[in-house]
Amino acid sequence: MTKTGFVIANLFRKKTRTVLTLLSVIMAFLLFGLLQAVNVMFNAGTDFVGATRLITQSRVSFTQSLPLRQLPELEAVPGVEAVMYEQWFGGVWQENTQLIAFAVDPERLHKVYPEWTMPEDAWKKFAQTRTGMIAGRQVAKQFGWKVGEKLPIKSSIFPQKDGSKAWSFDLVGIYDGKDEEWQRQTSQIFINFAYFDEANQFGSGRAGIYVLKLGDPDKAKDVALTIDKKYENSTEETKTQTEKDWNAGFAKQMGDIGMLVRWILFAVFFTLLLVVGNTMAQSVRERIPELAVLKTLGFSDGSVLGFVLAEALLIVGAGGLIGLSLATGLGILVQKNAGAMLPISVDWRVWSAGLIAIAVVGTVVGLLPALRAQRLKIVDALAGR
Amino acid sequence: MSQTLAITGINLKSVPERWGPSLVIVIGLAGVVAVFTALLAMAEGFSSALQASGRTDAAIIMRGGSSAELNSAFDRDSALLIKDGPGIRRGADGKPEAAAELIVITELLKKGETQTGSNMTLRGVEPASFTLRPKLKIVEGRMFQSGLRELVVGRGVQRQFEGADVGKTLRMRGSEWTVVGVFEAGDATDSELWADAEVAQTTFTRRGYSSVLAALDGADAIDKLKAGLSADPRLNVDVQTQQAYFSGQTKQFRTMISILAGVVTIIMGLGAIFAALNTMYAAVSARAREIATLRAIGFGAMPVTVSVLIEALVLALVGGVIGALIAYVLFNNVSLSTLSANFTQVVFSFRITPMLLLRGLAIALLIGFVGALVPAFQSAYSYRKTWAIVAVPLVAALVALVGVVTGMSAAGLLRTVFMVIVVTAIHSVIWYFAAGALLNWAARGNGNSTFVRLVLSLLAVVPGIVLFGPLLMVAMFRVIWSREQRNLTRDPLLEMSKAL
Repeated sequence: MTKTGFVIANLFRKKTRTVLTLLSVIMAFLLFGLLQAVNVMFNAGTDFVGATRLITQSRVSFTQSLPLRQLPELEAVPGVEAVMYEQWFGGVWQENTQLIAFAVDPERLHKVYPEWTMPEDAWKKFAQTRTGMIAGRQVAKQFGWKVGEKLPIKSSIFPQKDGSKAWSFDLVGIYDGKDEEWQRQTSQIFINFAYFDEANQFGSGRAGIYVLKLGDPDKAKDVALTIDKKYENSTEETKTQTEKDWNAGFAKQMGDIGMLVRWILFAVFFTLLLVVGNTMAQSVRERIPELAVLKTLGFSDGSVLGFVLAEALLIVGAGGLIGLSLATGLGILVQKNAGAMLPISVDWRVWSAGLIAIAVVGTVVGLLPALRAQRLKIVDALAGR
Repeated sequence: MSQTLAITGINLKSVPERWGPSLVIVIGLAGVVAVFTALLAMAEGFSSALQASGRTDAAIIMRGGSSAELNSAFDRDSALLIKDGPGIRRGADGKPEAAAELIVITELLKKGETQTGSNMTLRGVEPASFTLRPKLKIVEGRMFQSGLRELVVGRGVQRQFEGADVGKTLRMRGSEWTVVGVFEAGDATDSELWADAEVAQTTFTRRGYSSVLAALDGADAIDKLKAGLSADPRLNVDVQTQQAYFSGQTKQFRTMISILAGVVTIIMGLGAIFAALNTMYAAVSARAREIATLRAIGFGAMPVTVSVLIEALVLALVGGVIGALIAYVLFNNVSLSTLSANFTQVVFSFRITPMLLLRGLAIALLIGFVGALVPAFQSAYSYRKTWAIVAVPLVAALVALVGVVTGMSAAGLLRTVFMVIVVTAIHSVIWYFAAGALLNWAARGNGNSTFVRLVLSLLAVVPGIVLFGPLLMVAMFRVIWSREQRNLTRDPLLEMSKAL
């Protein structure tokens, strides 16, 4: 019998115990996978946007619109390559489903966000169709929208000139992200600002917030400072920050969910550590005479330590891998059902954190009993002392 | 009975001898209960912060179709028309008790934060706004003077945010505002900054208001007001009681937290059940000789079983109490903030109610029960007899566990169980036939070796299991979800805890 075979055979000496331990490890890692995915989701949207874009909002808050007259002034700031503006539309689909919809200038959007990809003629059509609208792949898929449809969308904020809040737009294109991470963010909808501004009751040439594309990301701080200085003490004071900080700020306002998730993870792992640790300790205690026999036969202290440690690593590893796989499957299921509202995915980041956790937990729970087995004195063990 | 007591006594006294395995149950359950209680205490605190603000004898009037005050706006004339609407109580001076208010979002820095601002509600108010909120008291400094750029801030704002103390100034749109007072109301307004409505209008170049808050004159006044305002062609407004408005606002957050708490508790609970099973099996097998001796000298099977069960329940209870204590000490009344439907911060605190503690303990006991039931019976009965006895209580306890965790009513629970049974039955039938068809197909030739049969039946059954599990979860999720969606205003838990 090989050493590996020996370790596996030991696991099967008490099947109930092994299966039960395995199951609790699976549960712990299932939870770990899901919670870690939530954690990643809340930190997402910050890692990959980079600092090539700045966001200029009103200093009072982003709900206070900035006037369009600032547009040429912002374009003139050295270091700024392109500028777009967006106004939150407060879109509502059917009865009560919130949409992430913005009114934008199509050409400017295309220039500032090259990450959104769509055939050129779709971009052209978006610019030319006054009632045009484009939607991200995810949101289009979620509601089953097709290009060419006329979609009734309500606004919870802007009434049209006749006081009605029911708008309708022509879907002229569905855009994708340039890579997988951007693809996951394709839950936004863009409508044509020119039409929006003309048709809405308060149309007053206000832009909402500005998004500035920079030539050199290293100049972000200087450009932001220049802009904010320019409007200081005016009635339209601005606050400019990188897109990354802006997104992070938004996530932060949701409350410290990350902290909450870490607390739960801590509780889960502490419990797990104890369960598996105790099982290992017990199984070693039961096998003391056997271990002594092994040593008598000539196995070194080191290899006895190895056996016990390998057993712990094996059970945590198997349970961990199964648990993470279950979490991956469940994550896909959640995404299919909740769609854009809860874009969790158990991806390589979660898996790498999970693998580290497997290694750490396996070692910690195996080490104490393994050391005990290593230090065992043959005479005492055989005598049952 | 006396037998049971005697053995239970011996068992409990010997727990310290085997503290290692016993600790697994205690700590495992402490973890489950602590996480469960803390999560739901958060939802509870948020609801109560907003619900406390809601009066049934006051109405809030917003522009039609606006789900939150932030989205609503109307001009001065409309505000005057609304205030004159029928059903609004008139004060001693004959004027309607109604206040037109303006909401503006402003940014403040959280204490300890240097860069990212948090959205705060700045409410432009009229004198009637104070009489309409009788609980609101200035607790520090003084009221703002009308016509001046002065602010009074809520207690929650002053505690959590930078620069909101009396005497400090805040800059907004190129002008300075002085904080002159702090108020306390014990509800959502504690997260707001208040200023004179007209000053706010000029500073933020707004011509109108966001909403009108009005005192209602009697029980049917809300319907009168609704009818009166909707009959007026110059207006397009939504009228609802203040309480309905606020409970609508808490819906989303509460749903999110209860689903999170449900999923986390159920998965953690399953883990704890397996751990408890492990411990109890170990405890029973370690005492096999002791139990055999007891039986030999005349103790019945039932007393032995019950004593093992009681031991597990006591350990579970201890774990549950420890978990609840941890949650209570660490979290009760700790304040935190999150975004409301208005896109602004609501400051609230964890609220651990007696009802929540009871639910936590119930979860601990049920998990202990489920974990110990089978090992306890197996210690004294044969395998087959054990399952015959425990099957029903085991399933009942599991269902009850789901009920306590999700907070479902008994009727809802029965509906779910029924649905699960139906779904299971349908799936079993489908897969039974699918497997049968596959086997028949395999047997049509002469090469129907046992091996082929085995592989094919596996092929037929495995997809069934793989598909069936997730489908079941989705089905349960749907039920819980739709239930949460329906319960906009009436929360059975809240009502039960009030009754307590």
